[in-house]
This record gives sequence, C-alpha cells and structure tokens, in this order.
Amino acid sequence: MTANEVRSLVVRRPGHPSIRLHSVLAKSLQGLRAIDMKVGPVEWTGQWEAIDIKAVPESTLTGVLFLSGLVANLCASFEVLNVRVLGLGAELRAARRDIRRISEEMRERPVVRQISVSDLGRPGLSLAAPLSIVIEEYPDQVLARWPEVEATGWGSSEPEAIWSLKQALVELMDELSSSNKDELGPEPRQALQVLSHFVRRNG
Amino acid sequence: MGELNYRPRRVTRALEDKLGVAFDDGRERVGWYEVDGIKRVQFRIPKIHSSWGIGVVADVVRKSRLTKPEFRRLVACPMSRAMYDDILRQRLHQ
Repeated sequence: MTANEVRSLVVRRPGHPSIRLHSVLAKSLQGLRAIDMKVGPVEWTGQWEAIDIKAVPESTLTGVLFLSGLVANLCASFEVLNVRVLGLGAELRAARRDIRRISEEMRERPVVRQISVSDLGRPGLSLAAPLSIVIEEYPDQVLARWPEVEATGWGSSEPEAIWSLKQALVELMDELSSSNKDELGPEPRQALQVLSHFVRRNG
Repeated sequence: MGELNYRPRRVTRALEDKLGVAFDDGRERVGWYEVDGIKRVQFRIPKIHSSWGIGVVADVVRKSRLTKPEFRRLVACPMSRAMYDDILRQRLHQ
C-alpha cells in the first residue's frame, strides 16, 4: 500500500466508534506506523481500507480525527472549487467562440451611408438628376452601389469605389442599349429604362 | 471563419461552372446569368485577385439572390445549376 493508493481509511479501535479518515491522511497512517502504534494488518477492500489500531493514545486519535475532518472539509471545498473552475473554463471557451463569431460578423457588416453623385465623369454623358448611391465600407474595401440597376463599383477608398461605379454604369448602359431587347429579361430591361431616364447623351 | 470568406477562384468557378456565367475579358470581368437564353442577372467581379474583398463577395451573394448558407452550398458544390434555377425563378420577378 502506498500513500496514493489509499483513498479512505476506516480506523477501528476496540471499545471506540470507527473513524473514517480521508485519503490525504495516508501519510498520517505512515506516521502512525513509524512511531510504532501497533497498527494491525491492513485489509484492502477496493475503495476502502480498514485497519485496526490496537493501542493509540487518546490525544493522538483526537488529533487525527480533527485533522481528518479538517482535511476532508478542505478536500470537499477544493472539489467544489474544481468543478466551478472547470465550469468557468467551459464558459470562457464558449465566450471566446462567440466573440470570434461576432467579430467575423462585424467584419462582414459594412458601415453604410448614402451620398449623391451628380455626374458620370464621362464627356458626352450627363445626369438628369443626382443619383443617390450607397457607400458600404468594409474593413478591406469600399463598395459604391446604385441599387436601382444593381450596379456596383469597388476600391480601396471611397473615390475609387465611386469612380468604379461610374464606369460600371456607363458600361451597363452601353451594353444594354446595344443588346437585342428580346434577349433581356425583366431586370435588365428595367435597368435600361432607369438608366435612360437618368443618363442623357449630350450633343 | 466568416460567411463571406471565400477564395476568389472558388467564387468565379462557381459562377462559371455552376451558373454558366461567361465572363468577358474587359477591365473588370462582367458576365450574365441567363435563363432560357434571356439575360437575367449581371455579375461584375474584379479581374485581379488583389481587388477582391468581403465587399465584392457580399455583392456577388446579393446579386445571386441566395442567402449566405445557400451561397456556401453553391460554392461548396451540393447545389446544382438546376437547384439554383429553381430558387432564382422563385425570387426574380417574372
């Protein structure tokens, strides 16, 4: 028997009630043996061990009993604490996952605002009315959109994105204008109609 | 990992192979998704990969009329062209 193998001890003494000692007191048992307390044969019963102590001074036994209770309480407290710490660890891991997910979502959620554009930056083309375009700022790029015709431009800055959108609008109008109308579905046809309303060819 | 964190090549391949979008070779790549030979949705994507970002992918997802999970299925392969056609017929106004 080693100190680690002993989980609990039942100490029996003739004429006295049995005392249950906690495993941590295994060393105490060794201590008892060391000072020749005439410890009887150790009976291994799986989780429990019983020993008969034939002659132990009352004061020693009281001290051991007190220590046993103290250590048992401490161990029980540590057990509870351990469970709580494990629970906190799990909660912390879950919180970390949530934070990672939320930060990813935030990264994919742009800062959105609207601005007006009053020209297409192309000679020969003018706008009948300012376009109300949507600016979407992502951490890594800026998008400029005109939702009415589903046109989008992008860039590393707002002016770049707006310039890109203007290019997209001009190209879309050119393509739709030159397309066979029978090959256009309702969406591009409607886009052409909107573009024709807003964009004027000068001269 | 975010829901819009895709490699440009995977998105482009999904649009080309799954939806049959034929991109031109202009300054920006522009192509149409067609149903029965009729142009329905225009996709416009950067030609160079360095110009890709979350915003461009978000724009492609928006134009595809798919939700983010549906778009993931499209890119990751389980969604076929026929399945996409069915979804789009429901969501595009006829």
